[in-house]
Amino acid sequence: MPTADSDSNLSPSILSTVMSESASGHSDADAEASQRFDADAVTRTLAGDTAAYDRLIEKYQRRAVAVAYRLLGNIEDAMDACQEAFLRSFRSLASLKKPERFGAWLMRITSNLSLNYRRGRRPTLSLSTDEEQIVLEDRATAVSPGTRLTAEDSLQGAETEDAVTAAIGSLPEQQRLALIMFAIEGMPQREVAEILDCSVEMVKWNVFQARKKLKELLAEYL
Amino acid sequence: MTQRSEQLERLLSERLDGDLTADQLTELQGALSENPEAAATARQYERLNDLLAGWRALPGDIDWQEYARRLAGGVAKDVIEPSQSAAQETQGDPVDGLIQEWAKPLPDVDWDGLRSRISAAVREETAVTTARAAGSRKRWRRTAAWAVTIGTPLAAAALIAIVAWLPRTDLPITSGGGGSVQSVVVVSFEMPDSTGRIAVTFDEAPMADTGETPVPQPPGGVAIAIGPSTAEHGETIDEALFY
Repeated sequence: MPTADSDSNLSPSILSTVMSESASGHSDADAEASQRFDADAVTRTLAGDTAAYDRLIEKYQRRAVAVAYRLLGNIEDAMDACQEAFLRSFRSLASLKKPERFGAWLMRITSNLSLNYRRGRRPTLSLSTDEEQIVLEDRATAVSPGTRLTAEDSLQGAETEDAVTAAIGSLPEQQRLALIMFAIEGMPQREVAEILDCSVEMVKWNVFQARKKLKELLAEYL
Repeated sequence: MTQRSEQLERLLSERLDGDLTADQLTELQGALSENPEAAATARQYERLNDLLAGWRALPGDIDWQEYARRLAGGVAKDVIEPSQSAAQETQGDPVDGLIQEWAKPLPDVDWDGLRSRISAAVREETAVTTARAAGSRKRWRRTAAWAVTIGTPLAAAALIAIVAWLPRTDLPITSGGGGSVQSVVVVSFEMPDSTGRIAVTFDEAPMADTGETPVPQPPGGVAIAIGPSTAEHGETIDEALFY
């Protein structure tokens, strides 16, 4: 399937707008432009213009992989989950009642697949202390000289990362998803509310509860 | 945690998201400047936010264009191509398709080889048919031999029995030393019940010696003329029948 061919009528300016929207700020006008883009792309895809679906892939792949990666902790697993999400959404595209909501729908599929994958996954083998030390020293020497880290720094960083991972993992699912999508990934509250099938106020409340709990759990690192 | 501190923490959390109004921001700044403990909490939230921003950040070396091609290729391979081939199979006028198929030139055929294969198949079929016919004739001969050996004596015996018993069925049947009919036994059969049993009832009834023949037959049963009675009146015998 070719990507972004010239005969598609999706405006490059709209595309650049929605691309930047997906990564940074989000005004109402941006959100409307993004939804129009999605609706147009979905309609074209359903009419047989498969290149239009490539535009949706380009628009959402980074966000989908980022969320999946934060839920799964492994980039390859995240990319596989994301690919499966795009496949499933393509197969079920005709059942999407609001084409302008494609983004939220895709992210819901992605997060569900990631959570299911996480539940069914075997625990990863942990390295022994000596092996861990070697790996961390290798990491430390691999970075550029200007930002060289000592093994001790890496150990501390790894310990902090493990603590954050454990703390986030202990959150209730809705709080974890709200925190990752909204507070960490920067997705619009309204979209997160759609994905989680709740109100915007509920998203805010979940994020607040998550932060409050993390502040207690990670007190020694703050 | 008091309600006020809970509210303060919520404001601190929402400040990180840029959700506070100008008034709320002013109020919060005032509270933080007056309360060192609240300021420390605010710093904790900011630090937490920084920590979360760096947690599991995407690796910087991902080739997104290549990944997009991989995703698009996966969609094409798993979804689009199979559905297109299925659509090609089902769409279009079937007659048009047939005409196009017929219009194609015949493929190269090894006619000699085909003739040999057909001839061999015909010979094989002929051999099988002949063998079947021979087998059928053998079965008929066996049946006829059995009929002559077993069936003929049985038929003769049956004929003798009929000749011997035929005059008796015409009644009157004499009893003992040629006396006249004294009674009849009426044998009646009932409809089979749910288990398949049939009740056969024997009812003996005295009969006037009128010298009339034959004995009148009752509906739904058989009357047998006998001599001096030996059967018990009203005796009933149940016979189990299988269907």
